[in-house]
Amino acid sequence: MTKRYLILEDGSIYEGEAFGAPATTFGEIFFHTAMTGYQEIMTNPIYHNQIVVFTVPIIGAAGINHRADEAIGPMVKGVVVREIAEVSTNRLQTMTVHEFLLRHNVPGISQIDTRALTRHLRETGSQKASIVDFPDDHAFDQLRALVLTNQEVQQTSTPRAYVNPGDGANVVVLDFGLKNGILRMLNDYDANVTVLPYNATLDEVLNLDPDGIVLSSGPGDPHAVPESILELIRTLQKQLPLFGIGLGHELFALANGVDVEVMPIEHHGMNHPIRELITNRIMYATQAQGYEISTSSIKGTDVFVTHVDLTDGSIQGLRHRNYPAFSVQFFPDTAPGPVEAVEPFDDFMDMVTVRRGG
Amino acid sequence: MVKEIVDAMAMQRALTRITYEIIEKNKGINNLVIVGIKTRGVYIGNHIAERLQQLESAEIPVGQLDISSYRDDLNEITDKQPLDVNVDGKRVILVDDVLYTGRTIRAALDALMDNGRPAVVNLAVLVDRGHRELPIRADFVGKNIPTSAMERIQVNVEEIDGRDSVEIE
Amino acid sequence: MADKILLIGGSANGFGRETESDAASYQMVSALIRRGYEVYFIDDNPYSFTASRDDVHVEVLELTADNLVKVIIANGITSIVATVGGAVATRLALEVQEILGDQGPKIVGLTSAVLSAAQNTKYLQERLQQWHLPAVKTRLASTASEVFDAARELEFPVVVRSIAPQGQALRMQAEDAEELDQVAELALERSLTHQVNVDKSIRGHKEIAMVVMRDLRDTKVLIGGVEDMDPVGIHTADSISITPIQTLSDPVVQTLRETAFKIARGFNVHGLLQVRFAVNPEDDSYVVTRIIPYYDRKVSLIEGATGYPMVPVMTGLMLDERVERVHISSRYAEHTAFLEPTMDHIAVRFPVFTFGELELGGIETNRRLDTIQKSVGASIGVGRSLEAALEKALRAAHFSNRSFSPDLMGELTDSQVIEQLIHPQDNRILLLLEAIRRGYTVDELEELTHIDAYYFYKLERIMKLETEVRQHPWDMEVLKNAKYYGLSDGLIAKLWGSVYDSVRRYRWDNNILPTYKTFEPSAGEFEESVSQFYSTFEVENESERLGQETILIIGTGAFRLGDGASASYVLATMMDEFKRQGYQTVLVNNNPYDLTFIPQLSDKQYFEPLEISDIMNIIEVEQPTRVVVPGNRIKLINSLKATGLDVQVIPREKYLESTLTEHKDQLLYNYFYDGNELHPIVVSHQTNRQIKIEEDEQSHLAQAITPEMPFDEVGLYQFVCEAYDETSNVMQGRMRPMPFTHVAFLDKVSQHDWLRMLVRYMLNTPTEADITLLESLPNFEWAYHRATLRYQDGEFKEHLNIQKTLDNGQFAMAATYEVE
Repeated sequence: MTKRYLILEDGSIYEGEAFGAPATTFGEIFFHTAMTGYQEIMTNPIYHNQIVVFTVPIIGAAGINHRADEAIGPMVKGVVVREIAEVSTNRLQTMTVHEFLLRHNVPGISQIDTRALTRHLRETGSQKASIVDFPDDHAFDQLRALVLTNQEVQQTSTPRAYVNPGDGANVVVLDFGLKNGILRMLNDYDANVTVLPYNATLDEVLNLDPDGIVLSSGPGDPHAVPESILELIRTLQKQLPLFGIGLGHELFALANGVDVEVMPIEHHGMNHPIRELITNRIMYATQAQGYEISTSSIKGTDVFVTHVDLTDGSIQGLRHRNYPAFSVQFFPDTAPGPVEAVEPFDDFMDMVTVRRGG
Repeated sequence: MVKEIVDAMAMQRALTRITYEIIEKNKGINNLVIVGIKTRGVYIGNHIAERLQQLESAEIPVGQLDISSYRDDLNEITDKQPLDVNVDGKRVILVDDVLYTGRTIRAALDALMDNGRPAVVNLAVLVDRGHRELPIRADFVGKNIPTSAMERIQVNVEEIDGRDSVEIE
Repeated sequence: MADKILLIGGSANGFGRETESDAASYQMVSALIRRGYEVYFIDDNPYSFTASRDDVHVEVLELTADNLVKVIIANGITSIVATVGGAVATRLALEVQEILGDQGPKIVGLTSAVLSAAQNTKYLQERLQQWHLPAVKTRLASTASEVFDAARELEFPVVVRSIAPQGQALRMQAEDAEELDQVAELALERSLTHQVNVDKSIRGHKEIAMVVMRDLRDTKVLIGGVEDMDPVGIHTADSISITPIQTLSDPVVQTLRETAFKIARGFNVHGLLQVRFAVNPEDDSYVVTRIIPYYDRKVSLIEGATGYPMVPVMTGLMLDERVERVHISSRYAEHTAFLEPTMDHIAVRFPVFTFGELELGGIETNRRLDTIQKSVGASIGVGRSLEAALEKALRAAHFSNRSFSPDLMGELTDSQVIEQLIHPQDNRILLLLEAIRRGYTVDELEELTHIDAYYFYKLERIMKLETEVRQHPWDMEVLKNAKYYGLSDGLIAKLWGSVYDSVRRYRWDNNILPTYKTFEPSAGEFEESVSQFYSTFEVENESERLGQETILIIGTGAFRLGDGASASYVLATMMDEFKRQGYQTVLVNNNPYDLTFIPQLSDKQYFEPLEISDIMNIIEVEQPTRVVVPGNRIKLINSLKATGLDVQVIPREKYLESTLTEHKDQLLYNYFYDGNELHPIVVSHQTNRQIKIEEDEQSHLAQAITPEMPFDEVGLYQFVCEAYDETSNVMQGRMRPMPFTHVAFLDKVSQHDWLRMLVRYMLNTPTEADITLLESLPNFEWAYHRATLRYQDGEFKEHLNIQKTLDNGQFAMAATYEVE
């Protein structure tokens, strides 16, 4: 029952109990409202270097099992909860959350009034935070001095290309911090997938004779990604079906001259109603979003809006006017999340199949 | 034995995809007119027009084409006005439910040309079942469903048949 | 011309229905009137709150298809609502449709297909198969050999059900070939057609319910899910239920959600649909067991637990509005109707049984729980941990401090313990705790009970806490921990050998104070100015004092005995009148189905146990100017008065009066006491079967000498006349507070709002009309010649297998009434 503290940039201190590793970490803090899927969330590379606060009061009842991993090990720098289940009873589990975090040297803190913390964060927006042993001046100094890296993509992208074989269409995925769910979905279509590092060149891509391109999701600020990649996207979209997810969607936007801004309040959850404009239908999907497309900058560009989040009007999907290229801000791989969100994958694979002549 | 091979949801997705493809190919919706071949082609055309409206907030005119007097394999003669919308100088999207031998489309093209001077004509079909007897192809296809000549394909629409689906028999 | 819409009520309360549908129909009426409908309501339940509205045409008729048809034709009804009258209403709606065909009114939001599927399992299974959704696997068999073929195919265990059984329906479980041998022939013989259904058994599977909303554009929203702690085999109403779902992983939850959506779409539901599943804990496979297209208790639980505006949204959707456009109160964020609720707290619904009271009344019952419901009510506990929610629900269900005392359970022998683990009784939570205390391992317990091990870890945690508290008296850290996990001051006091007051003061002095959090459906993401609270012991408190002059109303809690529904009616009516008189009101109650939780009846609501310490905590925050308490809470009333608060007592006896006076007719004189004198209202009769009021007898009333009044509180009273002296007109007998069953009945049949008038007198603001009316008594214009309330105890006897005559005055939950 070791005491630990969660401290925020704005001076707030929250006292709680330690679990996971006794490490001291720093990161940007955000809250996630999903009631299920904690393992998928903790291992999503999009949350690399971030500290996650779960609003659901207890996590861990289903333990850790490797089917729910979205990456090798947790990507978050810290886990903040009201309560952590000490034991798990799910048959599939191989270890508890505590053990999982301990092995990967990630600290957790429990017994926090997460509702109060959430309400506070929704006022202040995201900020830097740290899980420490003592909430003294030294800790705060360190926290304030922290400079958040802008090399997120570089740190989470694969350094070398690799193949995820299949018998179907040839799909190239540009890895900006890819989550396993994307590969799993492509597997379901039996695609022959090659994953390339984020800084692949045009030749490297075209040499694989792809039938379609996927721009993966990933962590961090899309503006931190080199201009050359935007140029690559512009070239590829003219020649091949292209599908961007999350960060990939933001890059697709930037590549086409649309501005991307920091969101005042981020979206992390799976309960926002998203309208698909073309059918006027409402669907739900998991969101992990810190940046958004600037609505006012769409005019005059070659992309148009396909999906909108109805709680705040933020753009959730784009499509190119002239090419078979589109992107979504939300997560269509349902790991975790609502099943109806997979439709963009269906659409992409349809496009790819048609192009292949199938 | 009747079997449903495309359900309502899949049909919706197919129409959505066709709509996006139309925008892509036409670089927007300028000058577009949708002409549906009676009877089910009209309803499908309407659905496409609805989607275009949701996306672009502009009303695309939808016309009906009655080709009963143009079919070379039927013996009907009528003097109904075949086309009820102006297509001069327009980019026409001709819409039908099933593309099979191609004769219906050929008749439709005749009817269209006799009643206007479209700038461009593209063909959109919900189902392409193969077995062409004329050199006709669709620009936009919802589903490719290879069939044998013995089989029958039926597209159902909510408005007439009470449900959206594609059945094979 | 306003559209005429008819709501079908649910008639007498019963084991399937407490007051949740009444609460729903009440809110629905408001939503319909706002949309310009002319609303008709047919019901013969004397406790109906909806029927007391004056902006609705109420038809007091027995709920039969013929009566419905009469009302429909006589009034030109164009739409009927079948979703707020329980299963009865859905059945009747179908019958009406069969009678009237296309000429009949539209059943809003529901197709006949979904109504049929809700009642007919076979039909449901056919549709599920059509949609490739898993249903309980079943095979038809006409010989023992076929039965065995089926069992081989489906694999043991199986359940054999006689088709068209003579007498009672027969369902028998067979674990292996030997048992099947015994069961097969018996079941075949029982069937009139010599046929049986062999089902793959789902006994021991997890029971999960999902509630979804769907609109005409096929937008589907998951509102919530409920998990039963007890597996299939125990009726879900007798089970401890929890929301949100605790032990399923995301992929499983998403699959169930998707399946519920497919079913809602398949049946083209506009409005709400509940789908029930049985999930195999071994492999997460599942089957759909039933669908419920109407507002029931699980829906009510989710509504309470999430704070989602269920009824307003349901009403809009059934009338073909889009979910984005449905009007909801401005208290909510705009998008609330179509944001899938997410919870940051846990709610536990705990069943309440009445065996103890029956035993006291000399009626032996079998306490064993099975597939027929035996609980008569339920309480809710809400907290930020499962332990706290469970603790509070237990407390609210009146198990109180007895729960954790080893004495009661300690007397059981080991084999008794095992027997009861396998065949649970109503006190099974106490038994589980005892088993843990005796050292049973979690695995053993899971195997014996099929309850997910997760819950045993939680119960173990509670036990450890208890021990920790006992071993560290007056330790601050231990106390803080115990309070967070929901242990009451009373229990802690017991463990420390002290009194609750000392513990409370100690807490106060050391700043260990409750923090109240709101129920809202966005887990803190969005600002919602809703007004429902629960307590926890954390850092931030979201409840501020409502106002300088407020009235705190103490609810009546879970339904226990015969007057649950009528008590709910009484309190709800009074609350509404307090509001009408311009007061700001705060409610505290713990029955999720209760009428008092209808949002418009109060300004602020607390879902909390009703023990003295919980109420005192709320009083500390709200500092009300007045507290309204039901009269049977004697200890509470005294404690409150001792603190100097202005306590308004609603006259109510601690124990319900028995009516079991063999074939005797009790004569009752009913009075209104305004604080000064007794005003006679009516003479009524009561037997064990009914209460009757005859217009012709009322002349009697003027002659009788008003008896002595031993009570001080303003209220409705009743004199039980044991002997009447004809010459002197003096009565011998006993004065008592009018039982709530009689109060509700009186309100209904006299067409005068006695309760509302009572409130005005309580507030000391009677109107001129009130005073005039009282002065004119006993001359009262009766609207009817005769009014009769009939107790309906058939269901009660059947569910609890009672052979003796039931004392209806005490136990009858259900009643119908008729007027001439």
